[in-house]
Amino acid sequence: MMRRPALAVLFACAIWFSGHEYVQLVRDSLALLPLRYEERRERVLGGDYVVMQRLASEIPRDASVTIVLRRPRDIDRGIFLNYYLYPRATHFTEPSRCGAGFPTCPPGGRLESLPHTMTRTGVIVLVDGSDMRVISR
Amino acid sequence: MTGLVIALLWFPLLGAAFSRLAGRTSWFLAGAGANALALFVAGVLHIPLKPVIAVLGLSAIAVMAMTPSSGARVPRASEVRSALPLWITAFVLLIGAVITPLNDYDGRAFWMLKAKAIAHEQRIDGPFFQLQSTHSPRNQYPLLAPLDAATVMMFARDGDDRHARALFAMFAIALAFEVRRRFAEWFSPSTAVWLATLLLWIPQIETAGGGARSAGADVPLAAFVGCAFFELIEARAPLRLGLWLACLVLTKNEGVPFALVFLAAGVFVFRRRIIAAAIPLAIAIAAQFAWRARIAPTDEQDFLGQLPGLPQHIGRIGEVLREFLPRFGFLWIAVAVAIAVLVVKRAWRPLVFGLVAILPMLTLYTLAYVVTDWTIAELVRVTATRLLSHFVAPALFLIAAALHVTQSKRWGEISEPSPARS
Repeated sequence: MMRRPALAVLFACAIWFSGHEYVQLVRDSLALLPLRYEERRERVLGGDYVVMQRLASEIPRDASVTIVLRRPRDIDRGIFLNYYLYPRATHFTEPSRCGAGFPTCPPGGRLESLPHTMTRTGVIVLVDGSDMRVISR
Repeated sequence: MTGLVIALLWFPLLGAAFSRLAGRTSWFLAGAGANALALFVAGVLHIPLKPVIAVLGLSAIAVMAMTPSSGARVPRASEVRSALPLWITAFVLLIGAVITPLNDYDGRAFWMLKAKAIAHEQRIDGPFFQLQSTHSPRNQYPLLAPLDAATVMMFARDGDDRHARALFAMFAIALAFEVRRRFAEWFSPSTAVWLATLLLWIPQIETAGGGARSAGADVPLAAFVGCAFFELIEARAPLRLGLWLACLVLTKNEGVPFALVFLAAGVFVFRRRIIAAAIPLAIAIAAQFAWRARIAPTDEQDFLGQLPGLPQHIGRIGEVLREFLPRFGFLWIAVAVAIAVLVVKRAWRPLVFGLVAILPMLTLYTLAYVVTDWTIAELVRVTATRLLSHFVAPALFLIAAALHVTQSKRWGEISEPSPARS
């Protein structure tokens, strides 16, 4: 006798907490369906993704890429850039934290001198907030 | 669409073959587990992955052709109609996952990057895992989910993450259908349908951040926890339990203690037959050790190394509980009520099974928060819902047992649960 009311209460809670997520999923799916997959990504992932894709199209697939993080908080963007640049060889450098596990550092941690101190040949990409750009080839 | 087709054909094919040999179980989950387990062991032994995939496929076809059906069949229209809420929810979730692009953090930063690397290098200890090419955060994370995703990418001949979108959603959907099948046997068909549907509506499972629409390994772990738990209750097929225990080890680091807890519980359930479950588990653990010894060290937190510091940090338990408990949500209120009902009605057997599957690991997770170097509030905020999702199948089982407490009580008197009366 108590089964149906109990299940109804559980479902009411589930709909209360997840109903809007499912409605949003259906809405998003219908809105995205007519678009090409790349366009869907641009719409869902936003400006950072567009910039990362532009960088990926600029950098040859066999290039070695140094991702320079302007500030520690740029690490998340760096991580995603690392993901979208795959299979390019990448490594991170963060001038403000030289010696803390970052192999390529400019003297004194000065970003300006970085391109001249690179020991590896390849492309250097600076991640400075949402501004991500190639600074040296 | 390629990924959807592969997810709905390849893994169920392998799982169906496994079911023919070891008894009826979730085709998708058994296939995903067997595929990754075979590829991982082959990778550790330096056997090329693509030939192993071909051998797996041929073996599955041979098994299907040469062994009698285990009784599984395509569901009848009336069965689909009676389970319409589940089918509709599963359809919306699966198609939604396929259409919408991957946008969760861990999925891209850790898991899918590994899948891309495996598909690209055709190895699990190549330059990527030696940190000689790409920056690889959490380098020693277990590889079950990435290996399955890499399999999909290899079939698609493309390392794009869109091909693996269906795969990850299918882990949750397959668990829901396995819950439905088991609960229909043990409790009642209608309770089974509604609780299985509820599983896909629980915020921890439904969410795009760490749930079924992400590319993380928490939902796969929850699925394998559920399957292992159901094998303990059924007490019939130790080999199937062994597959799930091996899968737990290869899915996430938390899977190792989970597997050991289930193995210990299995000793009481299966007695000497537990050896059949211990062998696949031992192979998975040994392969994991061998692989980790061969690749570059990881940057993840060493939880075991921090445990000796527990006495110094035990004062933080209050802060941990203050942060952790509010994350439990409505499902856990229902679980608390269910436990109370089972205690009052003295239905000890389902209560003990449920608590064995939940309490040890929940205690371990709580201790992990106590000894962490991170800010507790921040770590709980980021991880709590994902960790709680691991217990979804035992939690639903406790609720179902409380709703059918008369049947549940009979479990203490007979060796195996009898088929339910609806």
